[in-house]
Amino acid sequence: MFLRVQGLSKRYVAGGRWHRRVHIAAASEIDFEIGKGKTLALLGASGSGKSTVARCVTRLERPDAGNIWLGGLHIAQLSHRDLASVRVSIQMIFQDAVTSINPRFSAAEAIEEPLRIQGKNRSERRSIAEGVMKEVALSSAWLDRSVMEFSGGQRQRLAIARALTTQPKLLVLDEAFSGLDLSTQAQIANLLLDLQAAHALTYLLISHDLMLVSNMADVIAVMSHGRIVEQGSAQQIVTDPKHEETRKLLSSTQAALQLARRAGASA
Amino acid sequence: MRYLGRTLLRAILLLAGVSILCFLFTEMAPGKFFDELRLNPQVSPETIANLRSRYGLDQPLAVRYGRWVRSAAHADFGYSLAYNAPVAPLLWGRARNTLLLTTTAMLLTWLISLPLGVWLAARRGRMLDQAFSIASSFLVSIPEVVIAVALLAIVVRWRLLPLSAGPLNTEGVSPWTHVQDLATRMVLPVTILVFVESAIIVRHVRASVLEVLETPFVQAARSFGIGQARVLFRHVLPAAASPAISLFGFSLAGLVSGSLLTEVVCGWPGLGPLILEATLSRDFYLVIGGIMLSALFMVGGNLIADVMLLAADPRIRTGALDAH
Repeated sequence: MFLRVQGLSKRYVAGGRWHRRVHIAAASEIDFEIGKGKTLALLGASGSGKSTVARCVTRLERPDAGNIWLGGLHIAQLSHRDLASVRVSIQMIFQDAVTSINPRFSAAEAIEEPLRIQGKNRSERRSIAEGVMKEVALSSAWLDRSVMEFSGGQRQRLAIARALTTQPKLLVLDEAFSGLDLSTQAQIANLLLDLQAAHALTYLLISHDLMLVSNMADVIAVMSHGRIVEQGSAQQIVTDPKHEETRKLLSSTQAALQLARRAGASA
Repeated sequence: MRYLGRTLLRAILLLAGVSILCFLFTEMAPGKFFDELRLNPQVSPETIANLRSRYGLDQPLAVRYGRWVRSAAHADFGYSLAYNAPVAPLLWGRARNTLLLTTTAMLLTWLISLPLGVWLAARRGRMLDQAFSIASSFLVSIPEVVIAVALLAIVVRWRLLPLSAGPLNTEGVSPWTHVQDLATRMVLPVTILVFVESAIIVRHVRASVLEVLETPFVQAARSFGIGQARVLFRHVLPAAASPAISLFGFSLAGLVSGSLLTEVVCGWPGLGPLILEATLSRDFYLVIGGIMLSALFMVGGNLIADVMLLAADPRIRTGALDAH
């Protein structure tokens, strides 16, 4: 197994010096594993704890308990310094492409940012940036344009290009499709599938949209109140949902689809 | 360029508006400059009428405003009845002292507030941050005069500083003694101004840095493992600069008007005591001149801030902000 998460727990403390302290368990006893080149989708309503899991796997946060193995390396409790070499192989695509790239940067500056800690010189960085632009089907002639000049879908491509620069093994996609229209979502999904096939990338997909992830994921894990309540193949989750939460997510996406169809018919 | 042109036009309209309102309000205010003379039985009503017509005070408001605009165009800004001299040179002599005080205070305030705000944002929620938050709420909620009087009382009670009021004498003293005298007299008013202003500015700087620290692009930069220094200087500070620059514009704007009360309390020979005196004696051209000068700084300060924002924020240049 390429990524293995075992007994992962994270809780936050609310309140403090002047208020009563309250511990909020954002994620508890999370177990899952993903094989190399495969996709696991963490599915759940907002507040179910899926983003917390993503932030722990990418080690933006240190988990309170549990183990995370990445390609055999135990990363859950690594220090900030030791993480530097690990960060290269894990990249995260954030929820909102428009805000996850510094609007003051040019496309080249934004994409080359992760390469800076690797000590690459200017021309090396540039040639890598040109390469990844081609991979996400953006013209490398646009590298010197301001990030502001790119559309939402193009910025999500830029974010993916930025993640690809370090030749990662694992991509964590945190609601990477939110805020995009349906046809752009499909284009980005196809792009991600192509990249996965080309580079044997492993994906951890965080989403609340069952229909969208069922086309991409090999395995789906459904989260509710900080716990994984159901886990199985994408096929099984869609056709034979066992848990109440899964059924709820399924019916809400079906309702959305019907609405979309009706809107399409009336237009 | 269109943005700048619009801002400039707005500034001119604003100044015209302020001057018209000034005239209306001084006209509406009870009491006129020659009212006290009327009480004097030795001055005949004819003399007063003569004086009024000599200074053009018997003319309708519109005519007086027209004359004042012409005088402003010649950089006189009207005529002070109490000092029997054009307003502009009178104001300028005092404004120099005020500017000396406020510029020093402003530089000190920003030198302290910027690093302190960033530092507190980075230590959010810890003991020192909370302590400062309480202290600054306290300072912000107390009127400036009360702080000024309190500090003055402390200085007098424990004889911390030699206190003196009156004009700044330059005759017959060596330049070194003059500088020393000036410095000791400036300590108290500058301290008051720094206290009052930095409480507000530190809060704003802290808030805007905190806001940027939470944005996804800073989190993204962190997730690449980019060092704290680069995150701070390359991502956070440029993004947090815009609100700070607007605030800096307010600081510039307050250079003339921000210290008036402090000057009165500390006996600093700046614009504060002059305007207070002019208001009490109904020397209204001088009052209007003072108000126009502070309005000019207000408009100028904001204009400079706008130009700085234009240079710092690419979204204004591309017009992306207008779309929202």
